[in-house]
Amino acid sequence: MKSYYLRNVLNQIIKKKVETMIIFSILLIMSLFLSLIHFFGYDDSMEANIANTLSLRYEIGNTHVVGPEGSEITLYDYHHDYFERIITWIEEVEKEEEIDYADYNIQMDLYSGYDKEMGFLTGYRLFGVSNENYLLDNHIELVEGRFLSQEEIDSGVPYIIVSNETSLKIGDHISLGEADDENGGIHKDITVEVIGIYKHKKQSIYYEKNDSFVNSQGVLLSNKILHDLLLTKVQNETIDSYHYSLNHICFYLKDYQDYVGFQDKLDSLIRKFNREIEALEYIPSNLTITETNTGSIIQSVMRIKNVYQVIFSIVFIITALILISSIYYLLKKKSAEMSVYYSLGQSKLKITLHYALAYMLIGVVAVLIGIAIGYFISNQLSIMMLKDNVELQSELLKFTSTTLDSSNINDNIQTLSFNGVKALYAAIETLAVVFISVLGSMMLILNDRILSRNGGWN
Amino acid sequence: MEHVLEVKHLNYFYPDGDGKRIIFEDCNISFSCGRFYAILGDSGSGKTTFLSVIAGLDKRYEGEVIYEGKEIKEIGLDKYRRSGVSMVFQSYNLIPHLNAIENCLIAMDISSNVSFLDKKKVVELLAKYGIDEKKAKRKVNSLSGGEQQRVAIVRTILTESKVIIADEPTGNLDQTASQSIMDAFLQLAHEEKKCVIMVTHNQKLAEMADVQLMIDQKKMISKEERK
Ligand SMILES: Nc1ncnc2c1ncn2[C@@H]1O[C@H](COP(=O)(O)OP(=O)(O)O)[C@@H](O)[C@H]1O
Ligand SMILES: [Mg+2]
Repeated sequence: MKSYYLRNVLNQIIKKKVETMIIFSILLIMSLFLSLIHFFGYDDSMEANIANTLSLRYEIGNTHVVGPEGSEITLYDYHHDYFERIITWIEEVEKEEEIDYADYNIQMDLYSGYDKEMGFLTGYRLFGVSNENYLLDNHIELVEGRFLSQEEIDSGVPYIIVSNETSLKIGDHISLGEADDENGGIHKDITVEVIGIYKHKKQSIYYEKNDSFVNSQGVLLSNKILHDLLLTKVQNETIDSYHYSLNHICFYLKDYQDYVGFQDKLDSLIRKFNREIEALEYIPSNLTITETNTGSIIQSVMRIKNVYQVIFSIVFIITALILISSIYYLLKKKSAEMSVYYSLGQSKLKITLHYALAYMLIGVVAVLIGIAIGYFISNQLSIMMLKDNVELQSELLKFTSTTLDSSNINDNIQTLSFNGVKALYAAIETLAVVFISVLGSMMLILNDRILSRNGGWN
Repeated sequence: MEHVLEVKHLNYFYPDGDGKRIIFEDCNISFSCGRFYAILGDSGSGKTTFLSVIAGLDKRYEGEVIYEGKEIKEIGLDKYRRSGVSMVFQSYNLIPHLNAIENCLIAMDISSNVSFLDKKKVVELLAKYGIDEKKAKRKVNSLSGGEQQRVAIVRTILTESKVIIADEPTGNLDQTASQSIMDAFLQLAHEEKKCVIMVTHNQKLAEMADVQLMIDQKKMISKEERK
């Protein structure tokens, strides 16, 4: 096997300790930044990580519909019709292909007694639930019993879930009614059974900031029950001083990537709804899309990421330039040696390929280490970025699945999965830069004039 | 005697400003195996240019350089250098950080005439030319000029090419060293039946060759032929 010459060329380059270390270091830095560009890239790795931890949702704010005190009965109808139309609209939007499910709360305050000085005494706040994922999405967890199934929610089985801060126990029955100002008593309507007890997860920043969510006296039950209750009130014309509202309308997307696009769609759906309302000569709805934290997180994370990408690219370009000039310098020093090989009959192409091979062997080692470090750093960076975002922390605490311990944010952030294709790109690109450097240098070094008059020809 | 190398209607010029500087114009000459040729000429007359052309290092010529009946560009200049021709340079052109044996083995590896890298043969041949095994294992840049040039000559022998080209091989050497190189060339031509073509300044050395050539008016002419 005739490989003596080739082995020698490779030895010549690789055995030179200082020069090899310099080239190796430059290559390591270059491949590190290349793999950072890929792993931490403009693609979905980061967003997927966020999406893994957060459910994406649209929240529509300010849909309070309240029965006004002392209004004409026609106004009750008006308000109630309005209320019904919003619910119908929500159900229609839920059918859009991007939507996984919708959720909203019909909310009613329920008072068990009235005192002239103290006002209403004991109060429950009823939260209508339209989805079995409610617990998951609202940062509360069951401590006892069970939650409503989707079937029970849809059919309106009279079960309730109560806070652990109430004195109620599983199996207790309570009557839902309303405070009756005129009679000073309670109007009883429906009896419900306690099937589960929930508590708020610890350190719920979100909860503290947002009192519109389930409070310590909150009772969770099917929206349908509340809806029926409301209808009875409307029919009985007994909604004076009865406070009810439609809150927390959320649309959960199937795919986080639809986030920006669906916002426009939702806008136009709201406009369409408003036009219909106006056509009925109702006051246009006050449905507005509120910026959800999740969306702004993704956007701010993307912004930071883009800054990182620019930095990575600049470092990559600088190291690539340093690499190209170092390789040129080192090869130039070897031009006498190359002209010996040339005079012995080696072609310019082969000489070029052999030197390229030598540097690429160094490159392979560098790139393997570079990719490993790049993968590690991009993971750390993404975790760091997620952790640094206080807003995000609150979102995480609120939206992470109950199986995760939300008090420990690290557990909620999954490391990016290693992507072999991206690693391969980084490796190929690093080696391509090496190859092009050698090729370019050789074109300058091995020109005919130098070769036909190498050192010895005088 | 059959010609191993023939130069026919060779034209060669270097671009010189807007015009050109003509070095050869319709130059014709032939070389045979078993002979030692010396090329004499003034400095700048084109001796090195001529060697570059017949060594397959410079393809910017017009006319024909025929090796064993075939134009060398047709053979392929790389292949021609690998198989037909070997070179000895004034500055030895060895790989300085390798030893003599390694230098020889690399040349043999590249040569397409050699299929087996016989290290024993290398050591023996080096010894025959005055490089003992101890010296042969030292880096060549620690050898004397004469020794390095002998390593270069051994290298040309080991690659088994028929044509050996030398450009002022004794230019850096003293009298005794020069003589030993001349002896080596003579022996290569007469005993190994190689075609040795050497450029030199030294009239005395040139006279030891079988054929003395010189460049005159852009042509290569024979000065005299000695038998
Ligand atoms: N690359 C070149 N470009 C232009 N002129 C050259 C080049 N190389 C050599 N020359 C000129 O060509 C002439 C012949 O050069 P050369 O063959 O080296 O002569 P010699 O070896 O006989 O001294 C010289 O005058 C030299 O200046
Ligand atoms: Mg010369």
